[in-house]
Amino acid sequence: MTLFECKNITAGYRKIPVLDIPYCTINTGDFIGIIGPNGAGKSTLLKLLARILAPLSGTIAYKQNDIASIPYAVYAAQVSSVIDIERVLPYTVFSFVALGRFPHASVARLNARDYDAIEQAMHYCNIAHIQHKKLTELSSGELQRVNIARALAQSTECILLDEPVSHLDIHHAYTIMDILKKLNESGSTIIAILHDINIASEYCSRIIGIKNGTIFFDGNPQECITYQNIEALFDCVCLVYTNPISGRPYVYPVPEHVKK
Amino acid sequence: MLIVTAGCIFIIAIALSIGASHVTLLSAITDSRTVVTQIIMLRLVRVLMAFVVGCALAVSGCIFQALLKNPLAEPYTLGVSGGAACGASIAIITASGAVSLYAFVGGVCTVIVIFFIARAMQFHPTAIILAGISLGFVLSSSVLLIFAFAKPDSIHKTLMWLSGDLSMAQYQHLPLYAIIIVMLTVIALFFHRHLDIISFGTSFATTHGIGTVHIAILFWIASLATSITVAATGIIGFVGLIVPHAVRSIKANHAFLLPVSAIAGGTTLVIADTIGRSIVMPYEIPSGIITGFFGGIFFLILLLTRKDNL
Repeated sequence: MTLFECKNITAGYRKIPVLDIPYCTINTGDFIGIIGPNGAGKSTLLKLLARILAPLSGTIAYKQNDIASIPYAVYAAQVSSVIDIERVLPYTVFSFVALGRFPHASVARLNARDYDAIEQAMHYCNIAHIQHKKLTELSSGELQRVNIARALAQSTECILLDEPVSHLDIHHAYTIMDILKKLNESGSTIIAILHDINIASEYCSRIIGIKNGTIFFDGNPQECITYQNIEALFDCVCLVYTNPISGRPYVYPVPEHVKK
Repeated sequence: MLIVTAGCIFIIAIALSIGASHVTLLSAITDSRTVVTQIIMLRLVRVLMAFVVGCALAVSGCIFQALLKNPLAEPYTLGVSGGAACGASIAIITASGAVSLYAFVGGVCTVIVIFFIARAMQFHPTAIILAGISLGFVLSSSVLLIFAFAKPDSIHKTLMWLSGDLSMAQYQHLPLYAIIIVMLTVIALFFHRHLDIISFGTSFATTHGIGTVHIAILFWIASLATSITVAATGIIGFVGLIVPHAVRSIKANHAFLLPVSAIAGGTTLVIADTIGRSIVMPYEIPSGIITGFFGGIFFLILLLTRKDNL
């Protein structure tokens, strides 16, 4: 089933377009990794889907409805976003995760279902033991898990993530990707901007490469992650082998000093 | 919460017992002379006015700090004080009498201008703050311009008003002010979860389903509360800045922050006013000066002793 359908989209800031997508669809159950160089327009695309930014022209449909016509409160119950929080305020982990219930709770008090969703989200992200700590006391790995738990508590079918594992060590990065994989297997659609091509290759069912504000390639990792594609996307030299454990493509960048 | 309320009642009782004539609350109960009761009643009205105004300023400060995502935001950041000062100066210098009304109109006009600027800027916090500060400069320069043409005694009167003088307040309007401020506070409380989400950022608010309508409602609640306080007692600085700040260091959730700030703000102003009218009896120091002086010192201590610099 088609979840998002983008038609003739241009988007940008101060009326200057930086993104131009003629046509693109995203299906229910996709696990999409968006890759591409800095400033290519990845975050702009994610902001469009999150409705943080409105397109300059063109339409985005969510389940055949133009997203501009869906009330924000209704949309927030369907699509959640994990974006770096602007300010880390001294809220407890529990009360922060509870904010995710906002689109569902019309009354000020949380009910039993809200508590269930919060407990489950915290359990899923393995943060139940730090639920009484304040956000200001957390490490960046913990903070990222808390932010994802908050989006999980939102109980949406689709989760958008902007660089969820950047500046995390491999242990924490893989923990978070494992959580996303589990969610995807239970039916959620995941759309994540990833900087690590190998992580994207290991976990995603579909890779979208964005360069100079437009889609450069789009498909499953095996067909997209080739040395031709990656070299052209990032203007670099690299080798692509197959990871013997997972069978997914694995990219080795070639540094300047070893090129002979 | 209970501790704060109990402390507040205790402080009001003390405030009622202090004043130029030696009448305490205890003597009012034991002494049946009408003059004693009258003195207590006079003080009660003043104490209540201080409480209501302090409460409104603190609530408004809480809301602005969340909306503008800035711990330095306060009720006057957007230039309401400048507008009110302008209105009040015109009223005092032209001797037209209705200082409160002029101040209120001045404040509200400023809010309307800022609101339209803010809306054009999609409620972008930094842009709103800069617009407010610019407008504030224009207005305070206008006040100085008015001073240039005014008589010295009316300048003194205006200066006292600008420093937040509760002795000049018009107490017959107390019930009206109290009702409006209590209503605005209750409405704000209904939005405590909105405020929680908004304070984490504009994008965060959008992805949780909060559009500009809710932001506009909260903007108006805070602005109206501030405009009413300037109409009631003039410009009293710092309460709206330090009280939400101090309370936030205990707990940041608005379900706690709003009501506790309201009570603490009211209490703070009652203390400031009591000090102001008793420290150099029979003269009076405007509460705005007391809140600025002691508030500033308290705030510095708080900053120096606090571990997180939020």
